[in-house]
Amino acid sequence: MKKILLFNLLEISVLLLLMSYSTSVVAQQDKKIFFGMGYNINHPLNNTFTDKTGFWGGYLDAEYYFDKTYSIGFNGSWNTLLKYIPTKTYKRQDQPGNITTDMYHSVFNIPLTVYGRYHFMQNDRFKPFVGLALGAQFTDFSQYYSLYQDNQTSWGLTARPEAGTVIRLTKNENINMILGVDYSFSTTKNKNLSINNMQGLGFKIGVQIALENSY
Amino acid sequence: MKLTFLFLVGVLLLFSCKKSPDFEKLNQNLLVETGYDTTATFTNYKTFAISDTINFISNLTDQNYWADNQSTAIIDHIKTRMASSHFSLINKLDKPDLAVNVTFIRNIQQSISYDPYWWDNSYYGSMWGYSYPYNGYATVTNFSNTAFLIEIVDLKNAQANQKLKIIWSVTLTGSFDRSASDNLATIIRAIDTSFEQSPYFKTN
Repeated sequence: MKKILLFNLLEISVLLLLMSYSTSVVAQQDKKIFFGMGYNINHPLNNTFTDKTGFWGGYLDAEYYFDKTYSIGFNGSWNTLLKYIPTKTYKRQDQPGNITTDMYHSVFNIPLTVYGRYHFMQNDRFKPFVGLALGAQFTDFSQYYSLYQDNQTSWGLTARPEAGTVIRLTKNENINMILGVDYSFSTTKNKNLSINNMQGLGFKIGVQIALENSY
Repeated sequence: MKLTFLFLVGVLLLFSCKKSPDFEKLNQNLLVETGYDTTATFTNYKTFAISDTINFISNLTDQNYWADNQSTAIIDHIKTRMASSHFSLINKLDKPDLAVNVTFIRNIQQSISYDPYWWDNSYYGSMWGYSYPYNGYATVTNFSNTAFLIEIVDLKNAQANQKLKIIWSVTLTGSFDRSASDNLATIIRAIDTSFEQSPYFKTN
């Protein structure tokens, strides 16, 4: 299912790229404010609690261009990492004895960041950028077993360097596509699980819609 | 205003997008908890007795026992597992060392919540085109509080202890809302697990 979803996303990406090449565009950065949304994938780097890639994510953002080169924005994203733990017997903590169950480990992240981007190149079609996002992150660590759930939440700081490109899909730049990769580090932690910080690699694909003409 | 609205929609979306695990998969097996009395020496016990029916505690009925083909199958399976642990089944009048007490608890609790919905009332004018809630519906949710218990009671030392001590206990919890045959298979599987995870519970 995950592979099919990824495959479809790649297909859509390629299709959009081809569509964009079939149009004659004289691209100029003439829009100032964009609203964006999209899909993201996150692969955890430093915890065994959930070391499986999370395919359930998305983001929303708003970006403001000072000029053709520099922009800032606000980004809110989410991603769930899930890992199934097959049936296993554990020692009870409350009294002598054991517990046998299967379970899911879940980590749900919501980073809320402010970012700056440097669009180092402009051409008719592509507007590649590098950027840095800084902000706060909410993380929910959960264990689901049988009908029960144990969870613990944590707030922390987060930093996310990123690189990507804006792909102009229309002549008037009303709609752009955006592709990006990032590395994220956050100070959210869970002492019971011996997790002192969260690190991950992310991939995102989305669209930007122009909200305002300014230039 | 447009941006504020989009921002609020965004924040709502963020906190409602947690992916749930596959609960159906988790409900395939019961959670098996076992506990034991660390002062008990299990090899000192040789015989046990068990009732032909299962105690039944429920807020749905006044019936306090469970006796049918399923309960018989469960009790027979417990007898088999006890025998595998070298305990001998005898009549309860013959002074067994242990009593096996089996109980099924099934309580249903109801929760009623009222969910107002938003009526598109842009005719009268309101924030973002929606009015305050004018109508809604009540939702009745049933919560099942269900557990299957096996308790091994020390009869041998009851007089000396001046009480009935439970020296080994099994608690099975989870979903019992499947078909009768599936429930039976799940309980039998969980009983097997409880004995397997308690290798100390045996005699010579």
